[in-house]
Amino acid sequence: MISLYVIGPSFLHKMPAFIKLILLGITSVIVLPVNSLLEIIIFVCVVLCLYIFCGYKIFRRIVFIRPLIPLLGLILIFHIWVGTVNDGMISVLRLLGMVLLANIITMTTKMQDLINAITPVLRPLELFGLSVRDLSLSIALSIRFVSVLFVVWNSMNESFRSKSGKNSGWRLLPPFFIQVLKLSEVIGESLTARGGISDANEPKVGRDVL
Amino acid sequence: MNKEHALVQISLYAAVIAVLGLFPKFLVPVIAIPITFQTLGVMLAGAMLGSKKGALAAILFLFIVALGAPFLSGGRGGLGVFETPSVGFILGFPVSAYAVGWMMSRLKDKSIFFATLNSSLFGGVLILYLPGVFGLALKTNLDFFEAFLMCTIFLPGDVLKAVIVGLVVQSIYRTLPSAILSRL
Repeated sequence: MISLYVIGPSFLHKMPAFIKLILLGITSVIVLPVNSLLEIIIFVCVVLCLYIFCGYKIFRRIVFIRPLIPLLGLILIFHIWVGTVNDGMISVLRLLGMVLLANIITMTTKMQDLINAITPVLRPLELFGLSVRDLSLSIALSIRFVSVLFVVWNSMNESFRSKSGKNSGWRLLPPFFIQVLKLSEVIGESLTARGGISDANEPKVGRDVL
Repeated sequence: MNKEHALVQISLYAAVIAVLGLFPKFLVPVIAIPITFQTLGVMLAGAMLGSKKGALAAILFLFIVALGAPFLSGGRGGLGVFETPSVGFILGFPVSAYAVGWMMSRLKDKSIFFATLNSSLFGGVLILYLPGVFGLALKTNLDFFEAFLMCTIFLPGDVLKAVIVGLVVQSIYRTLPSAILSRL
């Protein structure tokens, strides 16, 4: 399964997913209006302590925020440029703390547990014609498609390279899409041939694939 | 199109948005700004599927990212992405895809390249930047104009992506016109 979840025995792993989501929401509301640098530093330290308490496997994944660092740097530089250094520090640390907190919840919660926690909230949407079972199937299909798309792209790129000696770049996109669209037609027909999504008795597909 | 085909198409384009985000970053020549292809996927979803299905594909993509799949550019995923300064852009994906599809339906009588290019510029740049800049301003204590200035460095890359979407959709249209659901 493609997921950021990390197996572990920590107290956050044991905490029910919906409680973690509620706590994240409450923290976000509390932290947003804070304008004291000291309070924000304390908040970030508390979040870092959570990483330490959750064990080494979680702590070393702190590097996941690396892609965010250039953007945080840019924000800080921009604040320095407009003369609001203190605001910049608070903004950057608040963002850092909240991203770290949300990430640790993702890393300590299985994808299926998150779906189960969110499903009751989504149930009212069935009144508007959106089936939660269809959503589950769509999630499973999309995740499966990602790896299929990579396989198709790689095989086409290999063919292109063997013929031209260079990488295809965006030139491969049109034939790639045509091939993938034809594939999706076949999958759609297979689903229809198996009785269609509306007639299924059990929401097995989403669970099984995820 | 029956329900099964629609569901498969929506899932497929959600995956396309994901895969394009996982492509290596591309450096715009001369100005050396890194751009990712994720918004190209959003523009494509809107241009190919039309407004409603395009928006649903983008919503599905965001849902999967929120659940923890590392499908956002740079291998990011999980709830943390909704706390980043780019949250406005991320949450703007469905609106952007809807706007691209809506504009495609308004430009049905124009050439496919012209319609796709303009729809992508409208939905994928103009409309996407509204929540994007607002989100950046909200998350960074900058005012709206300052946040917009920060975003302008990405404009050349986004315009380039709109051109690529135009060319790709044009090529697909020549071979498989029935695949452009927004033109049906």
